Amino acid sequence: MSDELKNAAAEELLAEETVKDEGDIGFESLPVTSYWQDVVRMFLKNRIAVVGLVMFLVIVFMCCAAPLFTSYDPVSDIEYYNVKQPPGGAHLLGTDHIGRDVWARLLYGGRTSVLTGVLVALFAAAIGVTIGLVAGYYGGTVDALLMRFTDIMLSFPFLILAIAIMAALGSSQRNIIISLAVTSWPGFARLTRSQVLAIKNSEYIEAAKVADFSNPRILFKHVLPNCMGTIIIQLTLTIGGAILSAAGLAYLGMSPNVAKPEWGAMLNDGKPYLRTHPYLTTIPGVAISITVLAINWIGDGLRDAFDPKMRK
Amino acid sequence: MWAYIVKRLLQAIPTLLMISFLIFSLLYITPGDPIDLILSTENMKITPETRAAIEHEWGLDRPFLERYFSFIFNAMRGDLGTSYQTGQDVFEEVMARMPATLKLTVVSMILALMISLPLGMLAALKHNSIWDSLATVLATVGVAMPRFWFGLMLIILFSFKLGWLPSMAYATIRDDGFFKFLRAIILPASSLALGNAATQTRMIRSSMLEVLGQDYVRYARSKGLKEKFVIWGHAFKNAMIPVITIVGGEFGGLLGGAVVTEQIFSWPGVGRLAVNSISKRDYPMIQGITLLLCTVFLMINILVDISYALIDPRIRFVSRKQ
Repeated sequence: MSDELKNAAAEELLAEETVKDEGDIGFESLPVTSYWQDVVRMFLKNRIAVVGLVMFLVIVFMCCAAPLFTSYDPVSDIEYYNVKQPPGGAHLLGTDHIGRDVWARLLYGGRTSVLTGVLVALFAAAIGVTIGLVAGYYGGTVDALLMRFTDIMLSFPFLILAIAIMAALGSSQRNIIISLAVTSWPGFARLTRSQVLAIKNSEYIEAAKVADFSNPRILFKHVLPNCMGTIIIQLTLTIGGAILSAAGLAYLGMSPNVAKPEWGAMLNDGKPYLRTHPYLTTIPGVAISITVLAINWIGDGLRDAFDPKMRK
Repeated sequence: MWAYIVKRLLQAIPTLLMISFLIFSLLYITPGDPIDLILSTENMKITPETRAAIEHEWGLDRPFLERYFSFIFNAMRGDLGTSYQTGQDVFEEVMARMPATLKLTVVSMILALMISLPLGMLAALKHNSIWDSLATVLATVGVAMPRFWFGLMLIILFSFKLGWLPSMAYATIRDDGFFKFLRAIILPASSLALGNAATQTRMIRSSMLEVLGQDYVRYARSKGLKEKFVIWGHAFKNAMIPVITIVGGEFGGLLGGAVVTEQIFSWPGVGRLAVNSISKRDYPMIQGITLLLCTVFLMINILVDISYALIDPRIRFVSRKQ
């Protein structure tokens, strides 16, 4: 490994030196950019993608630094005498059915909701990518079995399976993450497998095999990095989808009935007051929609940035 | 063609077996005893002997695999057992609810296509116009909103504020007439349709744009064919092939999405039954629902593949050769 690194470093040095030595016209006008530099450059060129990224960073910052933006505590500040106050006045977005500040709950709740989405996507990716890599690389019976299993998972209305898993495990935020991760990996498996099939017969993989590298090493050091683009796009879109599904599960009452704020649970809290106090339902939904919109915009931007056809 | 259909039907069997095994094992590890749950809701007490008798009758005292196989053998004869809660035949009860769910998904699919087809086509034909921007906005905002929340917003606007439509109503065409049926189903179906309309619009737009850039479209144009024929005779059919796959795959999502939507609009479908049964640990009911929903979904997929073959002669040719 270290030899490889050294070689690579030496080659890079060599390349730099030739550029300096030659000093030709062509070398200066064509700066050497790596694959990832290209991706970043393409992404930053995409206005909507950048807007999405900024929106998402602002949302994450506001949730993480919630105490900076509100003086109320989302759990312990309960004003029994001040329930269901409409937005405006001392409480920016009003108070909920037991007198807690909605703005504070929205900020603190964002931590749980966004983190849930990210964790679901990461776990789903870990399961799906491994299955896809193994199925695509080894082929044959392994492939047939794994893909049959993946197809079966895909053929099932996943929300019903998620609810059934929730029922089996009991309701808690952790179990929402588990049940959604267990139901959202098939997309990753399919995508990764098709990528692996496309690159498995390329020369550098042949070379690695000739060099007698172990299978796991080829898989994780040589195949996986070349599937990264597809995986990252799918990861981004899964985060958005998971936030939506988690809200759905929480709305069905699958989230634990604790005081800890979460956007889906806030919607569930507002359920009985839909007619009289619609803002209790409107506000968390808007927060979810804006967050998912920002994430999807990032995903679209990444899709374009990774697509070689879009690059010049 | 028939050989192909039979082959697909046979392929569905291992899928159903595996799904039922998955659900069966899930229920097996689920904590919470169904007998206790019924007793606590009915506020009853029973002797250990009675409990043992009930357990024996429901088969809860038998080992896991034995229970699973007896379930499968009974299911093959069309017997899905009786509900713990109501004591009714599971197959009959689920099938009584199935039409409501299917109506909801089909109507919402039609609604989604009614929005996405014209909008997607317009966006592609008038590339970079106001229609194109409108399609993009719908496509991005539509997938970012939680479907059930959009349904709640529809209720607030059309039922509470404007008072135009009922927020909870169920009607059938046969009993109440078409107009009443439409009034009852329009809100739940729209709320369910939103996400699909969004993804379809996007899909139709990009598929149509791709096809319009193909050589055969250019050739048709250079032949001097009228634009109408170029678009509907040559481009449209080819653009629809990838769209049909997406639409078929969306039925699974719709069946799942119907669970939450039915809850919001008190729609008497399978989804509501599923949520109720899961919370009550009504094992036979949950197994029956998942098995029947999956069967419906697999049937739809087979239908989609057949319609695929009808549209694309290349696929038909291959399947005939096989």
